[in-house]
Amino acid sequence: MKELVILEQIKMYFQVRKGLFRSLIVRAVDGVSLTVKQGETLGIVGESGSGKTTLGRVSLRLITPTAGHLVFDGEDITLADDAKLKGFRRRAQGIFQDPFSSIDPFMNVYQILEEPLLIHGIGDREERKGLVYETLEEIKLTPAQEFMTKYVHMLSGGQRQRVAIGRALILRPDYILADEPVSMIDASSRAEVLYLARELQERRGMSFLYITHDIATARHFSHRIAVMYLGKIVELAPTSKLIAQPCHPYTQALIDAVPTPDPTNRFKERRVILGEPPSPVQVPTGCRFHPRCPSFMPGKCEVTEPPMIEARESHYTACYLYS
Amino acid sequence: MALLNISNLRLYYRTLEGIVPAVDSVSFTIEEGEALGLVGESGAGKSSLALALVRILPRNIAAYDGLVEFEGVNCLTLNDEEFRKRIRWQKIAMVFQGALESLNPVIKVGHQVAEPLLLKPGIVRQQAYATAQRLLEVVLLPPEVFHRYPHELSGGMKQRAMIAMSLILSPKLLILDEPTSALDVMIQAQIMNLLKRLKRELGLSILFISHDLALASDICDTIVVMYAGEIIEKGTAEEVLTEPGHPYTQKLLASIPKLRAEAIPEFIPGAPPDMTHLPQGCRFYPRCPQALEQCRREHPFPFSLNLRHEVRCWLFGDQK
Repeated sequence: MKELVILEQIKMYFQVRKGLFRSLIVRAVDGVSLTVKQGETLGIVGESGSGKTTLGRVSLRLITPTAGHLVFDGEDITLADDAKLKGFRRRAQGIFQDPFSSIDPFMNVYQILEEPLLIHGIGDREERKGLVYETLEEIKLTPAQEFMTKYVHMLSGGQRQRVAIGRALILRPDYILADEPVSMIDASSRAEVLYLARELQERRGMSFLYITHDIATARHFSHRIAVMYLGKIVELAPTSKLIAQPCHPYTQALIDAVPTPDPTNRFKERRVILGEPPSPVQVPTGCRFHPRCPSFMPGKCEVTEPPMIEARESHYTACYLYS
Repeated sequence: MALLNISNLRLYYRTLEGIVPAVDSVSFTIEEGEALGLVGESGAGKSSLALALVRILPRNIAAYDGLVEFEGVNCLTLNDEEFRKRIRWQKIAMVFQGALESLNPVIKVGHQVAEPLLLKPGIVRQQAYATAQRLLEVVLLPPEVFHRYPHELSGGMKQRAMIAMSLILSPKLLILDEPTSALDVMIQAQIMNLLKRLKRELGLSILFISHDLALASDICDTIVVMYAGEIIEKGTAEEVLTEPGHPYTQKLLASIPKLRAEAIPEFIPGAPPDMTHLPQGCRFYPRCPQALEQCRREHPFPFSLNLRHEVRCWLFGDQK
């Protein structure tokens, strides 16, 4: 399969001022290499502060990385200017976490869906109307005639998020960044939105970068999963392998932390690693996870950073347990 | 005798569109040391029910009646002042949804935790601070947190501080409204372990509000499922999770993505009904995969499957 989006040794540092004269460097993304293949969904799983959202924003070139390269469909666009990016902007779209704030409340559904077409100068009035109609059918907001005139406050969370998908979809993009697309909507409608995305993917063959803190939904809706911790990828594997046989202790902990509906849960404490991720300003030496790691090996893990290795076939991890 | 006995509790709001029966004739009991989970989609009336219990209500109330009996006292007969002095925070404390942002940013955490105690007559500041310090320890926060400001704490630490604050007057019942929904899974698991320990060691009763049945199963002995303002199923955790009766409960369970099972998560098509124009029959009827003709016409009663397990669904109508 063709590699559509290539992130190569991406670093994204932010400078934050602390007091008058001091400034600190936040290493949000610190050397990440990933590829999103055509027609694939790559899941990025991590806690808040892991840098997954920043990485997603880099992949859409909403921010220019401090170092590294972003290659889209064979073309390096790390430093491309706005004019050159316009074509890219049409082919790469984003869906964001909060469907309540990412959609203009004064526009109705028709205007929201039409706007990208106007920006990119696509079609005349009639053609645009046809495309909006078609898209509404695709995102299953039917009857389309009825939904077109609605404003977002009249829609449920799931319906709003489908409007957001429709807005991303109407330009027929090749790549969609979905950053926590279902975390703010009811559990009972999450699957509906994710199925819709998957169905569209199967029909259109586009690629998704699915960013989430929820490894359980990533398991059902991603082909491969990358686990991110403090700005680094610590494990990358095809979904079934990663869930069945996680390599990295952090991945194992993430899996253990997922609650299951089981009436015996209340009689036992959940196995959980202690503490919270450290600040990306003061990254621990060696392996970034070593202060919380249940398998910490003194004299090794805190000294040098473990390299990413292929621990098993097409299953990569950065952990000394495997080298 | 049950610690809390709620019977036919109603809380209706008056809105421009009409009357909203946010809590509609709800009945359940919570025993001492019991954790009861209140589960449902957003808009089901879970938070309204909690606010009705601690009596923090908006002005547009159209109806607020029924029985809320706490340790044998009918709270609804108390006036606001009596309720504040005797029940709220003394007996029933609450950790609110989105509580992480409700700490005062310019007051040190320790003082805020101690505040409910400082407001009591005859309490010396030193004494209140010592109690607050001890509670920070109970919720596993390092002692220096006492002198920190909220912005210096992470989300998980703030939530622990909120729990400490809710416990400072040694309440019997703690209401937790989506206490972990803003937290990462790992921190969520840590908080759940803490709540389990508090329940066990302090004999605390808990009303746990969540949209997530899996999370509720982590602590709850009893589970109550709400839909469109009313209870549609209640039973022990075993009954509700392994033999759910109501099609809605079954669908909710099926919507949870399982990590190890191959079964892919399902969803419930459609949306909850408009609360100002509720369907005439069963409120879930328009979304129900097993709907009968009767469901469209008649509002179902709660039918008892056994002493504890109740389902509001016509499918169980013959077991009346």
